[in-house]
Amino acid sequence: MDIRHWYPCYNSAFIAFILLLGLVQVGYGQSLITKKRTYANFQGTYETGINLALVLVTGTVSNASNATNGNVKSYSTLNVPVGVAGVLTATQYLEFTTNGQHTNRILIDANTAVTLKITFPKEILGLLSGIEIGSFTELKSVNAGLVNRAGYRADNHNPIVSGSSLLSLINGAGEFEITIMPNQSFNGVYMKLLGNGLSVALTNNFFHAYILENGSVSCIERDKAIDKLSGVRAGGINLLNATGSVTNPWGVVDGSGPMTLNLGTQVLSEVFHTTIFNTASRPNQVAKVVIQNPGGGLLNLNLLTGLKIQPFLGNTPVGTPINESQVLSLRLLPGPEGKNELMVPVAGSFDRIEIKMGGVAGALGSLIVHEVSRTFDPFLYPAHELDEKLMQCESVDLKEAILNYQPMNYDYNYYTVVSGGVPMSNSIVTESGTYYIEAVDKISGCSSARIAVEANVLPLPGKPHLTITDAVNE
Amino acid sequence: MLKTGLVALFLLAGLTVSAQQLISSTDQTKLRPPLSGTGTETIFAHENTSFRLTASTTSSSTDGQADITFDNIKWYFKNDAGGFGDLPDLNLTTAAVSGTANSQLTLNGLKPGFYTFMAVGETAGEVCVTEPEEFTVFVLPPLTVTLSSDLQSNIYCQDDLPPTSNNTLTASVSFDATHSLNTQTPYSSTNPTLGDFELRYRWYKVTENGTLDIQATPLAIHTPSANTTTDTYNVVETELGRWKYYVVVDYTVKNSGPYQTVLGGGTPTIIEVTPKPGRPTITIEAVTP
Repeated sequence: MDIRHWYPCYNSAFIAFILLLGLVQVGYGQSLITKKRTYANFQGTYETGINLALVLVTGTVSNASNATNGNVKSYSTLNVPVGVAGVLTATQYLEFTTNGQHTNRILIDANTAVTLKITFPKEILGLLSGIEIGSFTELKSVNAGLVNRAGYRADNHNPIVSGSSLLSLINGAGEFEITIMPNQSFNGVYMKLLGNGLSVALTNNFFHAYILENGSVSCIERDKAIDKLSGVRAGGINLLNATGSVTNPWGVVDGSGPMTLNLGTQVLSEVFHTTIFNTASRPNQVAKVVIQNPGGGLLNLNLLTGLKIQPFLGNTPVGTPINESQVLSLRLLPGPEGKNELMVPVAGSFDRIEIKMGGVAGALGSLIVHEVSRTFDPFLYPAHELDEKLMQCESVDLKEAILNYQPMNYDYNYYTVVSGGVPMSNSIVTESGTYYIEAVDKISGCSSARIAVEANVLPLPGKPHLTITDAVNE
Repeated sequence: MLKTGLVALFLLAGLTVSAQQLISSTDQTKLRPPLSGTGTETIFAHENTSFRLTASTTSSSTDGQADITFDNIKWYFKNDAGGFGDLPDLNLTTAAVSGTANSQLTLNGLKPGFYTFMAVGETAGEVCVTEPEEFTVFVLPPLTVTLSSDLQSNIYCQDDLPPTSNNTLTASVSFDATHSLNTQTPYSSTNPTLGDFELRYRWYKVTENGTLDIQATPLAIHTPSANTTTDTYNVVETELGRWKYYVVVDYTVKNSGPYQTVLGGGTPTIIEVTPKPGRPTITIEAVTP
């Protein structure tokens, strides 16, 4: 495989290329050629330590295959135990292959971004100098030895981050993605833990490593949430004192129910949750978040101190926070729970949404999150504006209802029925009633859900009749 | 003989049509179109003119659906480009909007010329806006009158009237040059000329120290059907005295003016009729040698 950085974000050549590929793909059943994850699919471990009276004590990698099994939820665990005098290490190599076999490993070009998802408990923050992350080549199997267990070891390590540089990357505790760009071609990445007489165990969970490659993504998959990050950040206090937790953090990804962000007692620290989508969005896709104030009722977003819901493309914020947007659609959903739906069209391309609480005095303490999603459905104007736009004389132009109207990127179909049927010839209707608007991605051919709108067409009154009176004519 | 009769008939018909073209109280053809109304109610004298237009607060069936209630009426004048002009931009004294749904427009002090006002009905929220209904009026320009005489002498003897070749007072009328016609209208090009109007000339004589009473019986009343901007009066009075001669002119289409002048202007010309002198008396006296 010859991976090059042909496609930097917002590069016109890249966009043109994607357009070309997309046009080709339309005929093949509605899919999108875009960047998607290619996971490392082969792993090896190297555990070393000391031999105490023929008893080998080493760092360990448990559930090692979980880091390459394609399940984003599962992880391996690297550990260096507490209180053992002597150098113990645990290293896991994640290698990119064509078929999961080491013999079919891939050499990836230098300067290709590769991302690792790792858990950093805050208890190990003082031990970050014992963690090393880098790229490798020349991975080879090794037999068990006096101070090592059988496994794999690379002959060529290219360490990239460790210690303070790692601390600056994560600045928190929980699940983080670390993206590195090795300056040498590589077969994969590794994480190595090293400890000697530790007072606390050094433990990291290693979920996976991936690079982004162009591939076909189906209409259903393109906007699907596929991963999440969550944890706490230092905010205004020492990270060791940070509190906060996220219960059921996978809930908004796998649909297993709502998650709850709790800030805990230290409101100056921050708790966060990041939903990661399968692909980077197309322009003006809609970010949707459904949240619930545990106290109930419609949220006054201006009073939700410390709450920030921010789209990102990788590590780069995209646009203003959703909850501060000028075009935010906020409505209280039907039902007794008091769910608040926030919807905002996001002009730029984004692939994740972070919800963050805390960091300031008086911050909101708890927030229930029911949904974090992304669509390219037509996004309608807020109700009061929508009513005006859809109540017109003689005819109504349905496209006026669409706030994120993007004819350069989408075709729009207008229907009289919620499913099936034939699109109307244009967006102009002359009779009141319920109509349905559908967006079709010009590149992928993917169709959105049909969004219902109520058109109110009023008859044109005839002219007023004029009479002349009270003439003074002298 | 038959041909001659037909020609005469056609000539008579032509003359009749020509006569009907004058703008009078019975015929305003030359002001219509685009003048609104069916009679002279939309023709105004320049002086002290005011009137009110009232729009219905429900729609008619013209150019739309009938019986829809208007939430508001918006008023405009039709500008020289035929577009919507805002009333404050119109050169008049006042234009006041009042009444239910702003359905009344009261106007005062229009200058001479055509004016077209437009009413646009709006439904609630300005969702539906009707086509404009137009209403056009015409304001008569004031007149300037001059009076001249071809009398060789302003004194003549009761029994020696001025010769018919030199006994004519001539009144000439024109639009008052100080009152220009409205240009804030698309109908400037169809402005009538004075000759299009039927005018009434009333001739009076007043004693030297008297004042004109136009209610008094005039010496003559003329409403010429051709060459309407001038009229003449032949001085044939034999009543002894010193007289001032007046002419009073107005439009017949509408009460207006009247516009008057006196012969001689600021220093009226006095035409004196002197009595016929008696026969001279012949006496004989002795001549002293």
